[in-house]
Amino acid sequence: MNEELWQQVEAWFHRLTDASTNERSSLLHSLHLEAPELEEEVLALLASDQSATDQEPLSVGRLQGSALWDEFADALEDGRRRPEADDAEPMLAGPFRVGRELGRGGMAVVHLGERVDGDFRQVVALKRLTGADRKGFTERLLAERRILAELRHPNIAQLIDGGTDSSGRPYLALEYIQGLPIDEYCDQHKLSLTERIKLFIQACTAVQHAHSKLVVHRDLKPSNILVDQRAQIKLLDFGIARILDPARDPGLTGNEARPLTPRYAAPEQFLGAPSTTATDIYGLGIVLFELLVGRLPYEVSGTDASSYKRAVLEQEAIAPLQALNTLSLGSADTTGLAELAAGRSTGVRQLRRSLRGDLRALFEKVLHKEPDRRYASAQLFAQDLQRYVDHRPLRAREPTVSYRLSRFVRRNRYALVATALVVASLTVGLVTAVVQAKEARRQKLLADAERESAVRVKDLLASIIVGADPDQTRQVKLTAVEFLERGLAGLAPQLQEHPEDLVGLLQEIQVIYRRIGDLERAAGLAHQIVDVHRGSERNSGALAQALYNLSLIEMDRGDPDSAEKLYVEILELEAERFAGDPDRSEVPDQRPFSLDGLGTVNLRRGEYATAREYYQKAIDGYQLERWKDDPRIAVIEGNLGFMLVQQGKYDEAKRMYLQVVHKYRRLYGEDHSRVSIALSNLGRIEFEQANLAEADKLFQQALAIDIAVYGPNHPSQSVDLAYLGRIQMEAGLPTRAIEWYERSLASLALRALDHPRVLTAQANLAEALVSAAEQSHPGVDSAAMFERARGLLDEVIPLLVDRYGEDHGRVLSASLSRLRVKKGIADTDTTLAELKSLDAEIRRALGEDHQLASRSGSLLEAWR
Amino acid sequence: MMQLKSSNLRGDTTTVPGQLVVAPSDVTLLLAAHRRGEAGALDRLVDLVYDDLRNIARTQLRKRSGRRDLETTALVSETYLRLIEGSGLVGSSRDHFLAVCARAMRFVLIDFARERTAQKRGGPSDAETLEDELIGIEQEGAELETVLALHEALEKLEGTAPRLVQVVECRYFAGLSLEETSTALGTSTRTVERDWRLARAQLLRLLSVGHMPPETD
Repeated sequence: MNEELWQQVEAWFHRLTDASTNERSSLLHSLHLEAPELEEEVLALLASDQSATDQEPLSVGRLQGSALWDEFADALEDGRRRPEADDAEPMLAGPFRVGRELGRGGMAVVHLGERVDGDFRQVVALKRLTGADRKGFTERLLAERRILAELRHPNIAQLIDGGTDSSGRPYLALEYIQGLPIDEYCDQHKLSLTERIKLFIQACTAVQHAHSKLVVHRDLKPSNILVDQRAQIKLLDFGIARILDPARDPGLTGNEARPLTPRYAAPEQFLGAPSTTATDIYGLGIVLFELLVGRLPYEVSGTDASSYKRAVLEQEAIAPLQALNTLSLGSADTTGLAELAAGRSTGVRQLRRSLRGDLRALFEKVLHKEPDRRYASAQLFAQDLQRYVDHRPLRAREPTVSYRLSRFVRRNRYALVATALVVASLTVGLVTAVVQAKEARRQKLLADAERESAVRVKDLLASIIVGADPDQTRQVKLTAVEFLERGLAGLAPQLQEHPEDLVGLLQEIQVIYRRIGDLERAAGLAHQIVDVHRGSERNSGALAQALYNLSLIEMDRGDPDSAEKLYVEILELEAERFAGDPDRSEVPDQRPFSLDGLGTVNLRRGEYATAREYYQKAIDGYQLERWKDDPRIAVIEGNLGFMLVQQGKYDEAKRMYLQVVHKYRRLYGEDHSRVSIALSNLGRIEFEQANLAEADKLFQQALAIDIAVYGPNHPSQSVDLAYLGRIQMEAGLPTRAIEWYERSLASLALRALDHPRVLTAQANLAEALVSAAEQSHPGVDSAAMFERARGLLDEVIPLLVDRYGEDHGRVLSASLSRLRVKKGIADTDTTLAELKSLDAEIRRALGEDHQLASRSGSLLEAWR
Repeated sequence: MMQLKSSNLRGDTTTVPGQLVVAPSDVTLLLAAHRRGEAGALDRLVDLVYDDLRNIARTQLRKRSGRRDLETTALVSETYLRLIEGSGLVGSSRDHFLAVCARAMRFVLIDFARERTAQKRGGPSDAETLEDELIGIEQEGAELETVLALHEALEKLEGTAPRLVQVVECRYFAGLSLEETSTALGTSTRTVERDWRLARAQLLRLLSVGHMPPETD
């Protein structure tokens, strides 16, 4: 670009970044009209600016903390000190003795490890940070650990252990694999094309497994795909992998300005766009192309990254046969080609014939420039490969639903404004992720994956909404919903003709709507789905499932009567369906969940005895072997526990929750949010029974897990933190309570100011401050505490009144604190009179027996 | 574009720590030539400052407790102050010299990074053994490559937007504050802020491809 043009780009960039959100869209519009030739450049800069401000990859002082700088200082100091010196001492990492070095990279070093604590011999690969910890690396290693902990697949090198070694550095113990990179393995064994494809399918299933857990690998290449001695594929190195779930990916691996391997990188990676499952699909495609044809599908001019970038972005992928031909032309003799064929145990003519037709279509699809035009999942790719091996017609040649959806995305892409662009690409990833989750279900993985993924999808959407500037929130939120809406509109004709094709997709969109709280639209879709299934004859299982989904929405809408009718219908349908052979159907029995639903309907009505019966029936009737590992049963047990708490049957509830904790620990391991929630529920029971020490222990455990899962200061921690504060208040230690309440409030920083939890947290903190100030210990600045409490209460009381009305316990409790502040700051004649009237008010509104009444009563006595 | 010989790095063992290589008068003359627009004057200037910067880094290391205390900002500032002392430079010339020092800092580090990369490539630890392939670890020397790629990106940017390059040198390589940068470049802090934002956006685009080690297979 010449200087003059650049100056115009610069001017537009400054105008746009200086502008407010509102001005921005009209400016973008005038950019489009006035200087269309600059538009692309300016938009790209804006997108890049977005990630630059998000990630600070070039931040001031970053150099200071870098390894390069340290090495520079080392080299100056004493010639050249080898970094290896840092790792010289013999060492233990957990139960493993650190052995010889296997490899080393910019961040980590890998040693052989041998278990020394047990009777059995176990050799592992130990991955540890090199040298001293530098900012971010520890977190990345921990992020990798969290990712690996989710993955359990015979074709993925497994996480065995993790912790801190004897020098205090974190380590990961990984499955130690003796094998070769897939390309070397294939060449060494002279595998034929078909044998190569068959082997490669294993890699697809490994990637598919990762995707079903919403993990994207992002660095697929032969050196990360090993073949072990039993000819098993092992996928390695999730060091730069990313979870498609912002709540659990604290931005460390979500960084888009990140290392990539140019030879295998997808177009969107070069463009700095978010990596999705489609990125991995492309990576698989390139690796396979190279395995089969022995070269890349591009004409690359050099070996540097920018040559690869240019080739990938500017050229269409060359068809395999053509690639083979140019290979022989380029080398000017055919011996290379003959060798290549011989390396695949075949002749040149046979090789040429194999690379025609189907493989051409297959690579065209998998290497498509647009992520949404590639195979929708690694599984579909693998299926087509299997079809190729079996000489069956390929899917690559038929247009599919996701193809149709993708066409919509493409048609409308340029109509969206710059911020919407980001949302759109995320949403494409999201739809892909949802499709992945669907595939996972097909594989009969735990049916709970659906709920799990829906929660993640919600989090993803929530993060799009929350992550935007506060003043942009409305716009972005609209755009995300609008996007789904338009997607549906684009599908309408298809829906008319072949509704059954689209039912799965409708279902996923319905779930998204439900999760973002658009219950009307969700209900509309759910009814549509039910109608489709009522129309078709023989699939009562699918109908039962659709009815159940509808019931969830009715419950969310606060219409338990409608939900109840649905549950009754489901019970009838299912009784008929499972009358003969109980294991006949692919669609699981919906009865336990309908009984659970009936329990919840009754719970809402206050019919505890009936509710309990339903819950019990749901658990007892289906405690069969095949439900053993279904976490949804644990959910029902949790509901029963909750109901027992409502009835004051604490001991029974405790037993129930202990069972739930145990089950979740078994299913998910220690560090999982569900374990944390169950522990927290147990804590509440102990608290209600005034077992403060036990409750404190449980909440601390729950909190520790939650921090391990979400990082500190996540809103999910606010309740645990609040209880930890209450425990200290009960114990008469308000200064300690203050610390917990402060943290509780901090964890809610992202919530709206009038969110009920924020109000409660503020009121709690104020009360603790007042109590601490009244105790007036030496060294405690009572005046400042009263002052702070006053500020909080003056802010929070009007909001509480707005939300709950004058007579509500929370308002009265806050008013009582406010009065104590008044007395603390300047005791006057009127305070006693005011307390008297507040006390009367409390007794009138809440009754004589209320806890608050006894508090105001004893206060009254003290003040007299 | 200026290329510094990497021999600078190894050849400087003859200089006595703490002693300046550049005479302040050289600085004055060259700076004046540079401001007149004489070609090559800036390169000469940076070349001169280069050795002093390394030299002063050594002294700082010796005086302080260890490498953890070596700071980009302090290093550039001290080099600047010592060279400017007795140079007779005043006003904006004087300020502008800080930007020259920042640039020298960039080249000192780039040469170092180049040398380290060469070592890593040639070193025995890189032998293609089976074990090396066992666990895919972070890309070898990704950080070195990042800095080198950044340098290349800056070279590309130099032709169209030299001011942005200077801002990056001051902010990233020399670690100068907004205020210091605005003084060195003779612009307002607001302009520095906007340039810094634009430079980061543009560099990130160039870097999202460039900061990878080239594949060796």
